[in-house]
Parts: sequence; C-alpha cells; structure tokens
Amino acid sequence: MDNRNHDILDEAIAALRTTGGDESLSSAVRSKLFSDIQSLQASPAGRVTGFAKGWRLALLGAIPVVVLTAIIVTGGHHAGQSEGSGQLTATKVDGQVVFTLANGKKTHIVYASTDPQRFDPAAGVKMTKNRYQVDATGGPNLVFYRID
Amino acid sequence: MAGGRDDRDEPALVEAARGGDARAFEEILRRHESRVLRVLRLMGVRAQEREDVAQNVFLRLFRGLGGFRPGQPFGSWVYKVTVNAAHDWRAQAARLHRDEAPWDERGPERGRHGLSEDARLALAGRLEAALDLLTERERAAFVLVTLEEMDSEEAGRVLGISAVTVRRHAGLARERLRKALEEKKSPVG
Repeated sequence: MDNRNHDILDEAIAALRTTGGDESLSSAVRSKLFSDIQSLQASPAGRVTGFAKGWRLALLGAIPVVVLTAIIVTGGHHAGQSEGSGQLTATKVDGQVVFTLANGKKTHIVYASTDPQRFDPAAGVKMTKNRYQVDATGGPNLVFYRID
Repeated sequence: MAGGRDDRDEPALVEAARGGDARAFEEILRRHESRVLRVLRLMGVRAQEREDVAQNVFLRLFRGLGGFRPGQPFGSWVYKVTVNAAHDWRAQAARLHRDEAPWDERGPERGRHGLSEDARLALAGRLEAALDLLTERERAAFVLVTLEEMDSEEAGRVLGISAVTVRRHAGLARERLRKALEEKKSPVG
C-alpha cells in the first residue's frame, strides 16, 4: 500500500517536472525591466540604492494612483492640503508620477501598497528633498500611497 | 536590448554586470529567467502575477550585484532571491486574496496512475495544487531539493537553515503530499 502511494507521489513529481516547459519573460516585461535598470543606473546614488527597495512590484502600472491624503491622481497636476500635512502635490507627466510635500519636515517616508489597509513598514522609501518620483506606465493597477 | 547570446561564463558576466554592463545582465537574465519563473510557479505565485514578481526578482538581483561576493555560487543566490520574493508575494496575496480558493482554475481532477498525457498533466496539477497544503518552509525545501534537484547543503544555504533541517522539511513535505494525493484519489476510485 505504501509502495503504491510512493509511486503516486514519484509519478506526480516526474509529471510536474516535465510540465510547464521553459517559460520566459514577455518582451513587454523585459523592456520594462531594463528601463527600470537604466533608471537605476542613471539615479544620482548609482544603481544600488534604497530608492526602489520593495517598490517596483507595487508600482508596476500605477494608474491611477491614489494618495491617502485624499488626492487622486489620474493624470495632470493635483495639489492638496490635509490636516497637518502641509502642501502635497502629485503630478503625472510622461508616465512619471512625482510627489512633492512641503510641510516643514525634512524627512518623509513614502509607502505603497495595493491594499489601503496594509502598508509594509519595511518597504518605506525616504523622499529625497521632499520629492518622490516613479514610473507609472504599466497596466491599470490601483496602488495606494501613504506619506508619513 | 536585443542581441545575440553572450558566451562569457557566469562569473565574468556577473563581474561585467557589477560594472554596469546591461548586456551582461541581460544574458544573466536569459540564463535564469526560466528557472526563476518555474520556481515562482512551484512556490505558488499565480500565473497572472508571476512575471511581475520575476521582474522584481531581477531588479533585486541587479541592485544586489554590488554586494555579491565573487566566487559565491550565483545560482544559489538567484534561488534565494526568488524564494524570498515568492514568500513576500504569498504574504501579500494572503492579505489581498484571503477569500479566494487557491488554484481553483486547475480544472477537473482526472489524474490517476494513467500514462496518457491528460492523466499525467492532471497528476502534475494535483501535486502542484497540493503544494499549497505545505508550510512555506516545507514547500521551499521540497521545491528546491525534490523538484529542482538541489542537494540539501546548497538548499540549506539558500534557505538559511541547516541541511538536516532541509531534509526534515522535505521529508515532511513528501509525507503530506503523498497523503494528499492518496486522499484525493480515494473517492474517485
């Protein structure tokens, strides 16, 4: 009995090993990947920066972008002022979303998530000179941002 | 980014990529993309999100090149980053899709001991679905050791655990998978 079970598992393993074939990235994803890499290389801090840590996945196709401070970006320029947050602007130009925040604080951390109730603290990205910029040229995924 | 294949060996490619050679990194990607996508699939990353996660894997690899120590097995590092990305995805997916039944798009379970292509595919599908029953560590150990045929020492380095622990998790995984396959088979036959 056990031998038969063992055969089932091994047969399933053998079958699974041979399914799927050799997968490869689509040309669109490949292009996006190398575009991101070029952006990283061109960044002032060099290619290995904390700028994109934990972000690229969440930011793929960030159209529209929702900022939790009640600013919704669907293109063009938006500005808002929420309690205690100072002046926040979000602009989307040529596939780039740019956030700027001026409230007197020098340090701001930006979080992104597809779930507005869940932001990974480890994935926070520090704004440089109160500015955060990211590509948003993919598909119609909804991404939420929180700026602390 | 199009171009022919690069015949340089992997350490040379890694070194070139560390120096900012995008073509070298493209060749690294070409050599590893199939493995990355396969491991992501076996680790349970959904088909419609697999490419995005794979893209994230390669971005992590690229960003981590600066800290990669020459002489270390690059393939092991690829596995490590891939498994970690799959874990991250699963954690996020568990929050976002907690109401969805896993792998419900697999279709009818017709697999038995049959040798036909349909039966073989169904059996593979049943095993792949059963992987969801494992803990993350069991799954990773099983995927690396049993499906990717990695030795337990290397798998231990990838997962950050001892080889003994890898074997134990892989063994537990086999038991649970065997049981799952047998249980699914019984009502049918």
